[in-house]
Amino acid sequence: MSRETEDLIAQLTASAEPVRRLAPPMARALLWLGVVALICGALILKLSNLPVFAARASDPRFALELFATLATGVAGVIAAFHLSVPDRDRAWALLPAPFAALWMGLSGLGCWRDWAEQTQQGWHLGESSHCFVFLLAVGVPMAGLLMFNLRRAKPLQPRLVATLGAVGVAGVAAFVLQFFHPFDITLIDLGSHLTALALVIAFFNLSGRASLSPRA
Amino acid sequence: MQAAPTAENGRAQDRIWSGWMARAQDGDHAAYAQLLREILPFLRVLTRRRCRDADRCEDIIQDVLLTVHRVRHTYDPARPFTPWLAAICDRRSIDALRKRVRLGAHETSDDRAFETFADPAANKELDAGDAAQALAAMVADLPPAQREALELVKVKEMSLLEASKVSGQSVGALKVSVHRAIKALRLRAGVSE
Repeated sequence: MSRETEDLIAQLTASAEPVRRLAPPMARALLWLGVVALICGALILKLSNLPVFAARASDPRFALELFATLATGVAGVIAAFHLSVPDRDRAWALLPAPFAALWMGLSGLGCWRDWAEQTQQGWHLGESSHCFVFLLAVGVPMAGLLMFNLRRAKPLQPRLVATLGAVGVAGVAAFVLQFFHPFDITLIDLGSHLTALALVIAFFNLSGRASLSPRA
Repeated sequence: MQAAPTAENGRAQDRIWSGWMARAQDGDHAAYAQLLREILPFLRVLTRRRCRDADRCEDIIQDVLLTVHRVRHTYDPARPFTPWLAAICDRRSIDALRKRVRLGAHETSDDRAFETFADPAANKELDAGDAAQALAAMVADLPPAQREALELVKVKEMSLLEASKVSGQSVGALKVSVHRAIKALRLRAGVSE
Protein backbone atom coordinates (compact mmCIF):
# COMPACT_ATOMS: atom_id res chain seq x y z
CA MET A 1 0.00 0.00 0.00
CA SER A 2 1.43 3.40 -0.94
CA ARG A 3 2.00 6.04 1.71
CA GLU A 4 -0.65 8.30 0.11
CA THR A 5 -3.27 5.52 0.14
CA GLU A 6 -2.43 4.75 3.75
CA ASP A 7 -2.83 8.44 4.67
CA LEU A 8 -6.11 8.61 2.76
CA ILE A 9 -7.51 5.61 4.64
CA ALA A 10 -6.49 7.21 7.93
CA GLN A 11 -8.25 10.47 6.95
CA LEU A 12 -11.41 8.71 5.76
CA THR A 13 -11.55 6.57 8.89
CA ALA A 14 -11.12 9.58 11.14
CA SER A 15 -14.00 11.39 9.43
CA ALA A 16 -16.36 8.39 9.28
CA GLU A 17 -19.37 9.63 11.21
CA PRO A 18 -22.48 7.41 11.44
CA VAL A 19 -24.67 7.69 8.34
CA ARG A 20 -28.40 7.19 7.80
CA ARG A 21 -28.87 4.31 5.38
CA LEU A 22 -30.84 5.07 2.26
CA ALA A 23 -34.17 3.22 1.93
CA PRO A 24 -34.39 0.70 -0.96
CA PRO A 25 -34.84 2.41 -4.36
CA MET A 26 -38.31 0.94 -4.97
CA ALA A 27 -39.56 2.26 -1.62
CA ARG A 28 -38.13 5.72 -2.39
CA ALA A 29 -39.65 5.69 -5.88
CA LEU A 30 -43.08 4.68 -4.57
CA LEU A 31 -42.91 7.35 -1.88
CA TRP A 32 -42.11 10.01 -4.48
CA LEU A 33 -44.87 8.77 -6.78
CA GLY A 34 -47.28 8.65 -3.84
CA VAL A 35 -46.60 12.27 -2.88
CA VAL A 36 -46.95 13.41 -6.50
CA ALA A 37 -50.15 11.36 -6.87
CA LEU A 38 -51.63 13.05 -3.80
CA ILE A 39 -50.81 16.57 -5.03
CA CYS A 40 -51.89 15.92 -8.62
CA GLY A 41 -54.98 14.00 -7.47
CA ALA A 42 -56.08 16.98 -5.36
CA LEU A 43 -55.52 19.34 -8.31
CA ILE A 44 -57.43 17.06 -10.69
CA LEU A 45 -60.39 16.68 -8.32
CA LYS A 46 -60.51 20.41 -7.70
CA LEU A 47 -59.86 21.80 -11.16
CA SER A 48 -60.51 19.26 -13.92
CA ASN A 49 -63.73 18.27 -15.64
CA LEU A 50 -63.93 14.59 -14.74
CA PRO A 51 -67.13 13.70 -16.69
CA VAL A 52 -65.51 14.97 -19.90
CA PHE A 53 -62.37 13.02 -19.11
CA ALA A 54 -64.40 9.85 -18.37
CA ALA A 55 -66.18 10.19 -21.71
CA ARG A 56 -62.86 10.49 -23.56
CA ALA A 57 -61.33 7.60 -21.62
CA SER A 58 -64.06 5.30 -22.93
CA ASP A 59 -62.21 5.36 -26.27
CA PRO A 60 -59.88 2.30 -26.06
CA ARG A 61 -57.13 4.03 -28.04
CA PHE A 62 -57.14 7.00 -25.70
CA ALA A 63 -57.29 4.75 -22.62
CA LEU A 64 -54.28 2.83 -23.89
CA GLU A 65 -52.42 6.07 -24.63
CA LEU A 66 -53.23 7.26 -21.12
CA PHE A 67 -51.88 4.03 -19.67
CA ALA A 68 -48.70 4.26 -21.79
CA THR A 69 -48.12 7.88 -20.71
CA LEU A 70 -48.49 7.09 -17.02
CA ALA A 71 -46.48 3.87 -17.33
CA THR A 72 -43.64 5.80 -19.03
CA GLY A 73 -43.62 8.26 -16.15
CA VAL A 74 -43.75 5.63 -13.41
CA ALA A 75 -41.15 3.43 -15.14
CA GLY A 76 -38.80 6.40 -15.67
CA VAL A 77 -39.02 7.40 -12.01
CA ILE A 78 -38.51 3.80 -10.78
CA ALA A 79 -35.54 3.31 -13.12
CA ALA A 80 -33.97 6.60 -12.01
CA PHE A 81 -34.21 5.64 -8.33
CA HIS A 82 -32.77 2.19 -9.00
CA LEU A 83 -29.82 3.47 -11.00
CA SER A 84 -29.10 6.18 -8.46
CA VAL A 85 -27.43 3.53 -6.25
CA PRO A 86 -24.23 1.82 -7.43
CA ASP A 87 -25.07 -1.89 -7.57
CA ARG A 88 -28.25 -1.98 -9.67
CA ASP A 89 -28.33 -3.52 -13.13
CA ARG A 90 -28.08 -1.03 -16.01
CA ALA A 91 -30.94 -2.89 -17.68
CA TRP A 92 -33.24 -0.79 -15.47
CA ALA A 93 -32.56 2.03 -17.94
CA LEU A 94 -34.63 0.17 -20.55
CA LEU A 95 -37.72 -0.07 -18.34
CA PRO A 96 -39.51 3.04 -19.69
CA ALA A 97 -38.58 2.34 -23.35
CA PRO A 98 -41.52 0.08 -24.39
CA PHE A 99 -44.08 2.33 -22.67
CA ALA A 100 -42.54 5.44 -24.22
CA ALA A 101 -42.65 3.81 -27.66
CA LEU A 102 -46.33 2.91 -27.15
CA TRP A 103 -47.10 6.43 -25.92
CA MET A 104 -45.41 8.08 -28.92
CA GLY A 105 -46.99 5.62 -31.32
CA LEU A 106 -50.52 6.20 -30.02
CA SER A 107 -50.03 9.97 -29.90
CA GLY A 108 -48.89 9.80 -33.50
CA LEU A 109 -51.97 7.77 -34.39
CA GLY A 110 -54.18 10.37 -32.70
CA CYS A 111 -52.46 13.10 -34.69
CA TRP A 112 -52.94 11.19 -37.90
CA ARG A 113 -56.67 10.77 -37.21
CA ASP A 114 -56.92 14.45 -36.41
CA TRP A 115 -55.04 15.31 -39.60
CA ALA A 116 -57.47 13.18 -41.64
CA GLU A 117 -60.40 15.13 -40.17
CA GLN A 118 -58.64 18.46 -40.63
CA THR A 119 -58.20 17.91 -44.34
CA GLN A 120 -62.00 17.65 -44.66
CA GLN A 121 -62.95 20.42 -42.20
CA GLY A 122 -60.07 22.85 -42.62
CA TRP A 123 -57.22 23.52 -40.19
CA HIS A 124 -57.63 24.83 -36.68
CA LEU A 125 -55.19 25.32 -33.90
CA GLY A 126 -55.56 23.31 -30.72
CA GLU A 127 -54.87 24.59 -27.22
CA SER A 128 -51.17 24.28 -27.75
CA SER A 129 -50.03 27.37 -25.91
CA HIS A 130 -52.00 26.45 -22.76
CA CYS A 131 -50.66 22.90 -22.84
CA PHE A 132 -47.13 24.19 -23.29
CA VAL A 133 -47.39 26.41 -20.22
CA PHE A 134 -49.18 23.65 -18.27
CA LEU A 135 -46.48 21.07 -18.97
CA LEU A 136 -43.75 23.47 -17.92
CA ALA A 137 -45.67 24.61 -14.82
CA VAL A 138 -46.25 21.02 -13.70
CA GLY A 139 -43.04 19.46 -15.01
CA VAL A 140 -40.43 21.86 -13.66
CA PRO A 141 -41.49 21.76 -9.97
CA MET A 142 -41.92 17.99 -10.26
CA ALA A 143 -38.41 17.73 -11.72
CA GLY A 144 -37.07 19.82 -8.83
CA LEU A 145 -38.74 17.54 -6.28
CA LEU A 146 -37.41 14.42 -8.00
CA MET A 147 -33.89 15.83 -8.23
CA PHE A 148 -33.97 16.70 -4.54
CA ASN A 149 -34.86 13.06 -3.75
CA LEU A 150 -32.39 11.48 -6.18
CA ARG A 151 -29.58 13.70 -4.97
CA ARG A 152 -29.39 11.92 -1.63
CA ALA A 153 -27.95 8.85 -3.36
CA LYS A 154 -25.14 10.85 -5.05
CA PRO A 155 -25.48 8.75 -8.24
CA LEU A 156 -22.32 7.54 -9.94
CA GLN A 157 -23.94 8.08 -13.34
CA PRO A 158 -25.64 11.46 -12.96
CA ARG A 159 -26.37 11.87 -16.68
CA LEU A 160 -28.18 8.57 -17.00
CA VAL A 161 -30.14 9.11 -13.79
CA ALA A 162 -31.03 12.66 -14.84
CA THR A 163 -32.24 11.46 -18.25
CA LEU A 164 -34.38 8.70 -16.75
CA GLY A 165 -35.77 11.09 -14.15
CA ALA A 166 -36.59 13.57 -16.90
CA VAL A 167 -38.43 10.90 -18.89
CA GLY A 168 -40.33 9.99 -15.72
CA VAL A 169 -41.33 13.59 -15.01
CA ALA A 170 -42.30 14.11 -18.66
CA GLY A 171 -44.58 11.06 -18.58
CA VAL A 172 -46.28 12.00 -15.31
CA ALA A 173 -46.75 15.64 -16.40
CA ALA A 174 -48.20 14.55 -19.76
CA PHE A 175 -50.57 12.17 -17.96
CA VAL A 176 -51.84 14.91 -15.65
CA LEU A 177 -52.28 17.20 -18.66
CA GLN A 178 -54.81 14.79 -20.13
CA PHE A 179 -57.28 15.68 -17.34
CA PHE A 180 -57.17 19.32 -18.44
CA HIS A 181 -57.05 18.68 -22.18
CA PRO A 182 -60.59 17.80 -23.28
CA PHE A 183 -59.75 16.91 -26.90
CA ASP A 184 -57.47 14.63 -28.88
CA ILE A 185 -54.16 16.20 -29.61
CA THR A 186 -53.44 17.74 -32.98
CA LEU A 187 -50.12 17.67 -34.78
CA ILE A 188 -49.41 21.17 -33.49
CA ASP A 189 -50.37 20.07 -29.96
CA LEU A 190 -48.01 17.14 -30.19
CA GLY A 191 -45.22 19.47 -31.35
CA SER A 192 -45.87 21.82 -28.45
CA HIS A 193 -46.07 18.90 -25.98
CA LEU A 194 -42.80 17.49 -27.24
CA THR A 195 -41.14 20.92 -27.08
CA ALA A 196 -42.33 21.43 -23.50
CA LEU A 197 -41.23 17.92 -22.52
CA ALA A 198 -37.87 18.51 -24.22
CA LEU A 199 -37.49 21.68 -22.13
CA VAL A 200 -38.34 19.76 -18.94
CA ILE A 201 -35.85 17.05 -19.91
CA ALA A 202 -33.20 19.67 -20.73
CA PHE A 203 -33.83 21.47 -17.43
CA PHE A 204 -33.57 18.21 -15.54
CA ASN A 205 -30.46 17.14 -17.39
CA LEU A 206 -28.59 20.41 -17.15
CA SER A 207 -29.30 21.01 -13.49
CA GLY A 208 -29.24 17.30 -12.67
CA ARG A 209 -25.77 16.61 -14.02
CA ALA A 210 -24.23 19.09 -11.67
CA SER A 211 -26.38 18.58 -8.61
CA LEU A 212 -26.53 14.79 -8.90
CA SER A 213 -22.78 14.42 -9.27
CA PRO A 214 -21.29 12.38 -6.41
CA ARG A 215 -18.72 15.15 -6.01
CA ALA A 216 -21.40 17.81 -5.53
CA MET B 1 1.21 -18.95 -3.05
CA GLN B 2 -2.35 -17.90 -2.31
CA ALA B 3 -5.03 -20.52 -3.03
CA ALA B 4 -7.50 -19.72 -5.81
CA PRO B 5 -10.64 -18.19 -4.30
CA THR B 6 -13.62 -20.52 -4.42
CA ALA B 7 -17.23 -19.41 -4.60
CA GLU B 8 -17.72 -20.33 -0.94
CA ASN B 9 -14.61 -18.34 0.07
CA GLY B 10 -15.93 -15.42 -1.92
CA ARG B 11 -19.31 -15.56 -0.18
CA ALA B 12 -17.66 -15.83 3.24
CA GLN B 13 -15.43 -12.85 2.48
CA ASP B 14 -18.43 -10.90 1.23
CA ARG B 15 -20.29 -11.56 4.47
CA ILE B 16 -17.30 -10.29 6.47
CA TRP B 17 -16.97 -7.14 4.35
CA SER B 18 -20.71 -6.58 4.49
CA GLY B 19 -20.61 -6.81 8.28
CA TRP B 20 -17.72 -4.35 8.49
CA MET B 21 -19.51 -1.91 6.21
CA ALA B 22 -22.71 -2.14 8.24
CA ARG B 23 -20.67 -1.36 11.38
CA ALA B 24 -18.87 1.46 9.56
CA GLN B 25 -22.27 2.96 8.63
CA ASP B 26 -23.04 2.98 12.35
CA GLY B 27 -19.81 4.89 13.03
CA ASP B 28 -17.40 2.04 13.94
CA HIS B 29 -14.02 3.52 12.92
CA ALA B 30 -12.03 0.31 13.50
CA ALA B 31 -14.31 -1.78 11.28
CA TYR B 32 -14.16 0.91 8.60
CA ALA B 33 -10.35 1.08 8.65
CA GLN B 34 -10.14 -2.71 8.47
CA LEU B 35 -12.58 -2.80 5.56
CA LEU B 36 -10.76 -0.11 3.56
CA ARG B 37 -7.44 -1.93 4.00
CA GLU B 38 -8.85 -5.38 3.23
CA ILE B 39 -10.54 -4.32 -0.02
CA LEU B 40 -7.33 -2.88 -1.52
CA PRO B 41 -6.08 -6.15 -3.13
CA PHE B 42 -9.55 -6.72 -4.61
CA LEU B 43 -9.59 -3.16 -6.00
CA ARG B 44 -6.07 -3.63 -7.43
CA VAL B 45 -7.20 -6.72 -9.36
CA LEU B 46 -10.23 -4.85 -10.73
CA THR B 47 -8.33 -1.69 -11.71
CA ARG B 48 -5.49 -3.62 -13.39
CA ARG B 49 -8.06 -4.97 -15.86
CA ARG B 50 -8.52 -1.49 -17.28
CA CYS B 51 -5.18 0.13 -16.47
CA ARG B 52 -1.62 -1.18 -16.68
CA ASP B 53 0.23 1.73 -15.16
CA ALA B 54 0.70 1.10 -11.42
CA ASP B 55 0.63 4.81 -10.49
CA ARG B 56 -2.58 5.41 -12.40
CA CYS B 57 -4.10 2.31 -10.77
CA GLU B 58 -3.24 3.72 -7.37
CA ASP B 59 -4.91 7.04 -8.31
CA ILE B 60 -8.06 5.17 -9.35
CA ILE B 61 -8.03 3.15 -6.13
CA GLN B 62 -7.80 6.36 -4.10
CA ASP B 63 -10.72 7.77 -6.10
CA VAL B 64 -12.69 4.58 -5.39
CA LEU B 65 -11.97 4.88 -1.65
CA LEU B 66 -13.18 8.48 -1.69
CA THR B 67 -16.33 7.48 -3.56
CA VAL B 68 -16.98 4.57 -1.16
CA HIS B 69 -16.74 7.11 1.65
CA ARG B 70 -19.14 9.56 -0.02
CA VAL B 71 -21.79 7.01 -0.95
CA ARG B 72 -21.42 4.57 1.95
CA HIS B 73 -24.98 5.40 3.04
CA THR B 74 -26.29 3.80 -0.18
CA TYR B 75 -25.05 0.33 0.76
CA ASP B 76 -27.86 -1.95 1.88
CA PRO B 77 -26.49 -4.61 4.32
CA ALA B 78 -29.24 -6.97 3.16
CA ARG B 79 -27.48 -7.16 -0.23
CA PRO B 80 -23.98 -8.49 -1.11
CA PHE B 81 -21.16 -5.97 -0.63
CA THR B 82 -18.81 -7.07 -3.44
CA PRO B 83 -21.09 -6.11 -6.39
CA TRP B 84 -21.67 -2.72 -4.74
CA LEU B 85 -17.92 -2.14 -4.43
CA ALA B 86 -17.17 -3.55 -7.90
CA ALA B 87 -19.76 -1.23 -9.46
CA ILE B 88 -18.07 1.79 -7.85
CA CYS B 89 -14.63 0.60 -8.96
CA ASP B 90 -15.85 -0.06 -12.48
CA ARG B 91 -17.43 3.38 -12.73
CA ARG B 92 -14.36 5.17 -11.44
CA SER B 93 -12.05 3.18 -13.76
CA ILE B 94 -14.20 4.16 -16.76
CA ASP B 95 -14.27 7.79 -15.61
CA ALA B 96 -10.47 7.79 -15.30
CA LEU B 97 -10.08 6.25 -18.75
CA ARG B 98 -12.46 8.80 -20.29
CA LYS B 99 -10.66 11.64 -18.56
CA ARG B 100 -7.33 10.40 -19.89
CA VAL B 101 -8.65 10.10 -23.43
CA ARG B 102 -10.22 13.56 -23.17
CA LEU B 103 -7.03 15.14 -21.86
CA GLY B 104 -4.99 13.27 -24.46
CA ALA B 105 -7.19 14.68 -27.22
CA HIS B 106 -6.88 18.29 -26.06
CA GLU B 107 -3.56 18.57 -24.27
CA THR B 108 0.07 18.05 -25.25
CA SER B 109 2.77 17.23 -22.77
CA ASP B 110 5.49 19.88 -22.68
CA ASP B 111 8.44 19.45 -20.34
CA ARG B 112 9.02 23.19 -20.37
CA ALA B 113 5.63 23.57 -18.65
CA PHE B 114 7.26 22.19 -15.53
CA GLU B 115 9.75 25.10 -15.42
CA THR B 116 9.19 27.17 -12.32
CA PHE B 117 9.47 30.53 -14.08
CA ALA B 118 8.65 31.66 -17.59
CA ASP B 119 12.11 33.24 -17.92
CA PRO B 120 14.61 30.40 -18.56
CA ALA B 121 17.41 32.38 -16.90
CA ALA B 122 15.39 32.48 -13.67
CA ASN B 123 15.07 28.70 -13.72
CA LYS B 124 18.81 28.35 -14.31
CA GLU B 125 19.50 30.51 -11.29
CA LEU B 126 17.13 28.43 -9.20
CA ASP B 127 18.73 25.20 -10.41
CA ALA B 128 22.17 26.70 -9.83
CA GLY B 129 21.22 27.42 -6.23
CA ASP B 130 20.20 23.79 -5.71
CA ALA B 131 23.40 22.56 -7.38
CA ALA B 132 25.54 24.86 -5.20
CA GLN B 133 23.91 23.47 -2.06
CA ALA B 134 24.55 19.90 -3.18
CA LEU B 135 28.17 20.72 -4.06
CA ALA B 136 28.74 22.41 -0.69
CA ALA B 137 27.46 19.28 1.06
CA MET B 138 29.82 17.08 -0.97
CA VAL B 139 32.80 19.37 -0.26
CA ALA B 140 31.98 19.27 3.46
CA ASP B 141 32.26 15.47 3.33
CA LEU B 142 35.82 15.55 1.94
CA PRO B 143 38.79 14.78 4.25
CA PRO B 144 40.04 18.06 5.92
CA ALA B 145 43.34 18.23 3.97
CA GLN B 146 41.61 17.78 0.61
CA ARG B 147 38.85 20.25 1.53
CA GLU B 148 41.36 22.93 2.57
CA ALA B 149 43.47 22.42 -0.57
CA LEU B 150 40.41 22.67 -2.80
CA GLU B 151 39.09 25.82 -1.10
CA LEU B 152 42.43 27.61 -1.26
CA VAL B 153 43.47 26.66 -4.79
CA LYS B 154 40.15 26.37 -6.65
CA VAL B 155 37.67 28.54 -4.70
CA LYS B 156 39.98 31.35 -3.50
CA GLU B 157 42.15 30.89 -6.64
CA MET B 158 45.45 31.16 -4.71
CA SER B 159 48.66 30.01 -6.33
CA LEU B 160 50.11 26.72 -5.04
CA LEU B 161 52.87 28.69 -3.29
CA GLU B 162 50.44 31.03 -1.50
CA ALA B 163 48.23 28.09 -0.54
CA SER B 164 51.26 26.26 0.77
CA LYS B 165 52.15 29.20 3.02
CA VAL B 166 48.54 29.49 4.36
CA SER B 167 47.94 25.79 4.90
CA GLY B 168 51.42 24.64 5.83
CA GLN B 169 51.14 21.80 3.28
CA SER B 170 53.88 21.29 0.70
CA VAL B 171 53.20 22.27 -2.90
CA GLY B 172 53.35 18.60 -3.94
CA ALA B 173 50.92 17.59 -1.19
CA LEU B 174 48.53 20.39 -2.24
CA LYS B 175 48.59 19.21 -5.88
CA VAL B 176 47.79 15.65 -4.84
CA SER B 177 45.03 16.81 -2.42
CA VAL B 178 43.34 19.01 -5.06
CA HIS B 179 43.50 16.20 -7.63
CA ARG B 180 42.02 13.66 -5.19
CA ALA B 181 39.32 16.10 -4.02
CA ILE B 182 38.16 16.77 -7.59
CA LYS B 183 38.19 13.04 -8.36
CA ALA B 184 36.10 12.31 -5.26
CA LEU B 185 33.58 15.04 -6.14
CA ARG B 186 33.23 13.75 -9.71
CA LEU B 187 32.64 10.28 -8.34
CA ARG B 188 29.96 11.43 -5.91
CA ALA B 189 28.24 13.62 -8.49
CA GLY B 190 28.20 10.73 -10.94
CA VAL B 191 30.24 12.65 -13.53
CA SER B 192 32.49 10.53 -15.73
CA GLU B 193 36.16 11.48 -16.20
